[in-house]
Amino acid sequence: MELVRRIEWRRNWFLVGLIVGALLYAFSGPLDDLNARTDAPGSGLLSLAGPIGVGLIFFGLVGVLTIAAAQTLGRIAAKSATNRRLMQGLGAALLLLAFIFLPWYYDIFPYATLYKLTIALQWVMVIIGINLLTGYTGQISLGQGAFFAIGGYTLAIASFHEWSLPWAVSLLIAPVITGILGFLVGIPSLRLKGPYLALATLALAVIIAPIAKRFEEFTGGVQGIAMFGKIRLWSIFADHADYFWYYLSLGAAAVMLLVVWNVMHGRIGRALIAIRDNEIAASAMGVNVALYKTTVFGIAAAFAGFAGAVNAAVIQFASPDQYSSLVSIRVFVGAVIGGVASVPGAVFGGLFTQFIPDIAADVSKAASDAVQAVILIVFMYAMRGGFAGFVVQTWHYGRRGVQLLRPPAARRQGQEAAAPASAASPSGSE
Amino acid sequence: MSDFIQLVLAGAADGAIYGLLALALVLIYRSTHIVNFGQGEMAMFATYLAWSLLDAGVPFWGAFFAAIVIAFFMGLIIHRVLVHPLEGSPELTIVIITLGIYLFFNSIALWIYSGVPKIFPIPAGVPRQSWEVGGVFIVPYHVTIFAILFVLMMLLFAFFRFTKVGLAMRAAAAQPLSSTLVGISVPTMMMLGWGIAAAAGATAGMLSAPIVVLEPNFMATILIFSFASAVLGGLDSPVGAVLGGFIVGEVSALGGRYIDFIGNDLQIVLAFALIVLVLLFRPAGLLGRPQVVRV
Amino acid sequence: MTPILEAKGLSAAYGERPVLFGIDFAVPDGGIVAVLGANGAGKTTTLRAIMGQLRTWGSLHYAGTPLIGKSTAEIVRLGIAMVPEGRGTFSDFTVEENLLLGAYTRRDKDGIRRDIDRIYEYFPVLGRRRHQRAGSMSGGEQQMLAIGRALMSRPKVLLLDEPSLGLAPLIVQEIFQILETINREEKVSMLLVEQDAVRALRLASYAYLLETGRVALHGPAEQLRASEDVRRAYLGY
Repeated sequence: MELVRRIEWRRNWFLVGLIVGALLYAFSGPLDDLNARTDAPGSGLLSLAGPIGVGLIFFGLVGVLTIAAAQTLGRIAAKSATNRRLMQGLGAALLLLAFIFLPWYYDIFPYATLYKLTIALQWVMVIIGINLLTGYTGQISLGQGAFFAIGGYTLAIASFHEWSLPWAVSLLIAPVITGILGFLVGIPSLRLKGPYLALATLALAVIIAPIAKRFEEFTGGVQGIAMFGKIRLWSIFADHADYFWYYLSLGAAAVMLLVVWNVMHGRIGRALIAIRDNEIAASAMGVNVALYKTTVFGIAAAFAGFAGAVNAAVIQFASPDQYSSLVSIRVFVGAVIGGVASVPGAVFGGLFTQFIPDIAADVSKAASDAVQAVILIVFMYAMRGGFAGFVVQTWHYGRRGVQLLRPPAARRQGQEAAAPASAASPSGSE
Repeated sequence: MSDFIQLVLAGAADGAIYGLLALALVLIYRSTHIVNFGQGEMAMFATYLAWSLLDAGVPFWGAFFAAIVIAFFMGLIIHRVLVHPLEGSPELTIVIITLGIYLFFNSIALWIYSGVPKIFPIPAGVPRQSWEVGGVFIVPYHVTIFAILFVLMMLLFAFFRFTKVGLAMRAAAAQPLSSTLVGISVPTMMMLGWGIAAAAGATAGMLSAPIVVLEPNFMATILIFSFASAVLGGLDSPVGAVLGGFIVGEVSALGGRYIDFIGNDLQIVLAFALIVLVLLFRPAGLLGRPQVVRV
Repeated sequence: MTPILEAKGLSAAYGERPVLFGIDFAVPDGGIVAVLGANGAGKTTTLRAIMGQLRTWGSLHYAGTPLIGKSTAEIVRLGIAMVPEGRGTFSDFTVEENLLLGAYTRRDKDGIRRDIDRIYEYFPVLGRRRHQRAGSMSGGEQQMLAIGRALMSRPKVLLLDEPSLGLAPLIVQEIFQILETINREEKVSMLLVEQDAVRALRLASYAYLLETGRVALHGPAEQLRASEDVRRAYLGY
């Protein structure tokens, strides 16, 4: 019993989760049958056992692997900064390779199709923008979906509706247009803080669909603009369109990731973090806050616009219904779950945004948002840094030494003899 | 001319509903300084609960009041369980939590009730036929909305002005530290604030459901209009919220009819424009108090 | 006579940061005790610790009842009230509402009404402005209001945090005189934190000198007033 009390539940939660998850998964079959047999209200929840089990197993495995990596590779990385860079680069290269070869082995993952993976990469692009805008600069934008929509419509209108520009040109124009719009939106946003900015950008996301419906001749109204079969690829790709779009999305996402990652770890990144943490102090230090903030808005919008254009090309359709405000919210949620200030986390976030609805649909179509909401709330309590934060924390934990048990003669809080004898300097404020 | 008056009345009825939900938003903002993005969805879910009760045969007013009471407790619990533990967290975290509330209620409503629109009746005893007064057709249901709004506002006013708890809630919202010293439990007061706000929101939902059809997203656009109302009136002014509601209602109705460009679809763009303009040029709104930010 | 408020080895911390290191003090029933010291010595922290606003350990008793671990509301109900630094009046509320809030933990409407009138007797200026917004009053009036509000909970012990802060000398004198009257007539014991050591030592019968979270010196007020070291270090002459 004493042993049980000494177990460090909090720090090793993922190990516990692994065991619990395995159990849940093992029993998910019988629980599903039970659900099918009864009609009691809420019995649908029984079917959650399977997905929850898988989720816990996933985190458990990630935790264990991270600790293993930390204890082996970590030692090498700690030896010098060059080692560290090398390892990070190696890790990124491996990840990239994994994605490059994905079309050949994606079927080992349930629900994965090349089409969905392509779209997941588009979410990654939007999320990288959110990382920059919200994670690093601290501007909460719930309206990235609006720029996504504008990007999509730019492709549709410029190449297949109003004008007939080659689709490649439209693809390149989209980020320019949305980038400029984003920059312009960034200007009034300078005066809006936190939740107010969130509110204004949410409203922006909400009005996109009604505007699209209203300007029918331009946007095709409620029916949207169909582009099925109209996007002609160069002949070498013509038969492998899905591969083409996959690699295009992958390439774009990888470039965005690399660029932003580099910028983030340099002077500009530090300036942005300074702005996020204390704007007034940052400007007092000579940072041109206004310029940075508006530019970042523009860049995030450009990313979202490009992603939207590619998205429209892949879906071959652009209509108001696919651009509801929920898109903005879901992609924001994905960013947070991946780790809002973590660019690598964007990969997880994009995959999450794309595939959780599928996994949750096993339970019920509507469950997807509910599951995201619950996961989101749990993360805010337990892992504010999102998935990336979890990995980083676990890595450090692995480096410092895994501690499963507390030391036996635990000091009771507050009863230290002679109060903190090793007292930290009493910088007493009264 | 009578056309115009009817339009004004309809706009006022919409405005009353916006004002009611805006009131909920303001109550939460005043007591906890949180912009609750999930307020509309909470109200929507409470409306669905009322619908369930009605479906099960409960008489209208019984279901109406029961839903309000349930919503009150829902608000209490949400604050206690989701918001209170995260007190002092960065703004982003709080925004995310309220987004989580939005998503959660939206989706479980969809899950439980499916997206098929349902019919929500107007209150029992309210005539369906419009009354004709001097060439103008007055919709009795609109009058009911005004009446309920009025009653609610009077109740709230009396509560905050004349009861001990109301005074304590105002004190806790204004100066939490001093309130603690007087023995007020500030977290409890905040919890009550959320409860009352949820109840007000539920009322707004149930009043608007008969007008628009009851489906899981029906409060989403109303939320935007209500935010516009709250921001216009001043996020910390309950009277401002209702006043803002009427203004937004009228502007939408009149703008929709007389400005061709706007029509029926783009009224929400007016709301958006209002939000942005007010936040940029007069963030405290019409009746709110300008906030001095200490560096 | 047992002290009404007694601390032995009282320690406190803000989160992980310790600020009080085992202080001892006692407030005799009906007496006035001063707590002096420079900025950052731990004076306000001591009062906050008594009111249960931070993590405390050690021994702290009020009329025999241990205070550590109790919530602020419980402590107020037991009979301790605090006049915080900077007055802490509810600026948007009227004088009368402030006093009513002070009586929040009480239920006897008639007693509350009588006590409000008594406060107006002690502080006539408050009576004249009973429906005025507290924030619009002068510093001295707000200080009186803060004291009045604290008295509304019928405390046996009144904690005061720097009541003289920012007030003109004449007003301070008036307030201290009223405090002495209240102490005498209402039998309210007081623990007074002050930077104005001269005045504090004139009002109090006993005093403690805090230095970085510890009691450096303590003794009867006249003794400290007479002590050369104290005079030079803290009283400036």
